[in-house]
Parts: sequence; structure tokens; C-alpha cells
Amino acid sequence: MSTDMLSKDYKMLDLDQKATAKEARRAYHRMKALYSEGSLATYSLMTAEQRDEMLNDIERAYMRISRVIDSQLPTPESPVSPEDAEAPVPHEQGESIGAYLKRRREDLGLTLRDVAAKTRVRTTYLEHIENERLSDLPAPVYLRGFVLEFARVLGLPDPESFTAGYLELLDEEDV
Amino acid sequence: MTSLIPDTSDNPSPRIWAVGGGKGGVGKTVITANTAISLAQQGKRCVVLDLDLGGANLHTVLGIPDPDRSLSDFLSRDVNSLAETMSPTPYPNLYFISGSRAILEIANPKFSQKEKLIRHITSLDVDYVLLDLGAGSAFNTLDFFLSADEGILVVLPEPTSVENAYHFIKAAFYRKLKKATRRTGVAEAIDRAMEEKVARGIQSPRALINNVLQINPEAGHALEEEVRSFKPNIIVNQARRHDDHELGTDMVQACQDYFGINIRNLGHIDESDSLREAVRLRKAVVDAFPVSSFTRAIHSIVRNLLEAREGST
Repeated sequence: MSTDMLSKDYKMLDLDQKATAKEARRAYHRMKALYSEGSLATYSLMTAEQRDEMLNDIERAYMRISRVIDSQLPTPESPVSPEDAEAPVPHEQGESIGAYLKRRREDLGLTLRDVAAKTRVRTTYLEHIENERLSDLPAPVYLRGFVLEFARVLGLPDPESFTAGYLELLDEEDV
Repeated sequence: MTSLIPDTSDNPSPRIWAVGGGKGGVGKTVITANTAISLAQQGKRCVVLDLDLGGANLHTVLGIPDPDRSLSDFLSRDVNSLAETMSPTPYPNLYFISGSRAILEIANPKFSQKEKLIRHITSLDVDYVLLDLGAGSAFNTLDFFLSADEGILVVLPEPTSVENAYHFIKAAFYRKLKKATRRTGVAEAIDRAMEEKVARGIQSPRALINNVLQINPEAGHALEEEVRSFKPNIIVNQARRHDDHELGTDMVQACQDYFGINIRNLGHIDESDSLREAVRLRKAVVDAFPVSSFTRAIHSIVRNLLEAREGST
């Protein structure tokens, strides 16, 4: 990757080249929000296509920056790098598996609707999955596919074992 | 008309702050009046000039009757200098020039009249002149905005108001470019770039400059210089929700990304009841409610404007 391109990426997110992963993530969220569909500051500035293009540019810039930051860190933390499969699912202390999904999704700046568009799973189900509203979830045979898609879209390191872990939760709860 | 407070400014000609905004009813007049009082309270001698011709009511906000003398007397040459149209206000250091009967003359002033007015404004013997511009982005409004040391746009956290503000910024920018090209001779490059608009898909000032840079690098650099010297300020008024507080910084970023224009966010003013209450008391808010959130916001805006000057010189 050319350094020229990378410096453009940093400029795109209005970031310092020495930015930490956390700063990069915050800048990325800010820019995503600024150029999202309902944004007051940009709604009159651009057409739908220009907006999509801008969001794509932001996405790509963040991905490239994340890779650079990750490569400098001993423990990769970037969400959008499934190839770093050796990283275990970093559950935060006391965080439930559904809450983890939600946090991961929000870290990526994705709305439930964004995820629904990519997974073709209805937002209500995605929401139930995040909230572990087990009684409202579909039969395990469907649920497995839903969770798997969800995990893939979020770029989780090992979607399969994550899904298995999620389904175990159901067994524990005896549903 | 002399003040007891000595003039501490090094610069003999006053700083001009012009307050505009694409839309009517966004609070330009209230903000202009209170900003002027805040400056006057700090010992700066100020004049507020009411150029809001559709609805000149600056005097009401200052809590005074419409004075006999107005801008109209100057434009019709009943008086020889603009200074003669200045009226005192209840606030020490603060003077007022009414625009209320000047509607016809200034709605469509001749170029020479406008130039003369601007010349007289810059030779007033005060520290600051605040212009309360009318709504809209007519050429005259833009010219007064551009002639000021600081142009200030008032924006409400509403889609229409934000859209109008962008429209104003763009219109002011093109107006400035057009005036600059008379001097630098880049008009031809701009015209050519604009003609190719459809083919090259020019939509933003930044794209225009990039295009001119390709056609004529020298002209392009001259334009870039113009962009650098164009730095309008924004104030987000009547903020209600937490998101509204972010609007200013969001607009700064969007203008940079999309237009390639630097704007400065002066801060936000929360919606409050003190405004209505102050008008009822026939007083300005910063005077009637010195510890209100509105007053604090105005003082902070004035501080930012004063610091902006230090930063830019």
C-alpha cells in the first residue's frame, strides 16, 4: 500500500498518523455518523450515490488504517480482519454474548438495518439475538444460520465456533 | 460623539462583524444586539447597523424607540457622514444606526452607493461595527458579508436552515471568487471550468478549483489563496437536543470535505425562555439575565471571535 494512499486515508478520517486504535475507531464512527443518511449537517449536500460513495471511502480508509494499527500492536483488535483468526473472542468481563455482538456491531458503526441488509435476516430477529430474547427467537435450525451470518458480517474471528457458543447458551437456558 | 473610555485599539479603523444567515427568523438580530452589548460591556466602543431591511427591528431588541435619524438620511445625502446617523443606546459604549426607513434606497443601491457606505463604515470612530444583515443571499447581502472582517452565519438545527447556510456559504464564496478574478485575471479559467461543468461534473468549490488548476495552474493557485482567506463563522442557535451541539463541528467537517472551505464554529446557543422574557422587559438578554445560559453562550462566542483575530494575524 502506498504511503500516499494511507496519508489520504488518515486525512479522510481527520486523523493524526499516530492515532491509536481507539482514536481511529472514534473518528470512524464520527465520520460514518456525519455522512449517514439522516445527518443534519450533510443531508442537503449530496445525492444518494455520492453519499454511498463517501461511506464506502470512509469504510475503506478505516479498514486500511486499522490494518496498519493492528500490525503495530501485539494483540490485534481490529474488527474488520477475519484473517486474524487466532484471536479469541474478546468477551469483556461480565459481558453477555448478545451484548458482545451488539458492542461489536456498534463499534463497526453498523445499524441493525445495515446488518439486516447484508445478512438478509430481519432486524427484529437481529435485535432478539443481541438481547438474547430467547423465547422470541426462531427455531434453532434457523437461528444457527442467522447467528452465523451475523457473526460473519461483524468480521468475528471464528464465526462457526461463535455460533456454536451462542447455541450452547440456548441449551443452558433450556429453551 | 466621544466616549469616556479611551480607545485601546491600535488599529484606527474599526473591525467589522457581519451577521447573516440564509433564512429569516434564525435569531440574527438578537445575536447581533447581544454580541454588541457584550463587546460594549468590555469597554469596546461599538456601533450596530441594522441592514435587515425586510424587518428592521434591532431597536426593539435594544429596548429603544426607532430613532429619527437613519441610514436613509445618509443614502439620500441629508447628512454628510454616516457618523451623523448614530444614535446613543441605553448601553454605555454602544451606538445604533437604524435602517428602518432605508428600505427603498438600499434594497437596490447603486454600486457607488454601496461602496460609499462601506467606506463610511470603515471610517467610523469606534472599535467595532456590527452589521445585522437581512435574510437571503442577494448580492448586496453577500457584499456586506464579504466586506466584513468576520462574517457570521446563524444556523438553526433544522434541515432547511442548514441547507440555506450552505447555499449562503457557496454563494458568498463564488461572489468572492468573481470579485477576485477581476483583479487576478483568472476569470477566463473559471468561465471555462464552469462551461465544462456538465462534462466534468463540477459541483463543489473544491472541484472547481481542481478543475481550474488543470486548465491553468497559476490561476488555480490564485483561487486557492482566495479560499484560504475565506473563513466564515457559524453559530448554531436554538439548540434543543444533545445532537444539536455537534452540528457546528459536523458542518465544519462537511464544509472542509465537500467544499474545501474552512469555516469556524463559534459555538451553540441553547433554546431558552430568557429571550422572550427579555423582550417583554424591553431589555437585551445579556443585560437582563447576566448569568443565563444565553448570556454565557454570547460571551463565549465573543471570546472565540476575539481569539480568532489573534490567531489569524
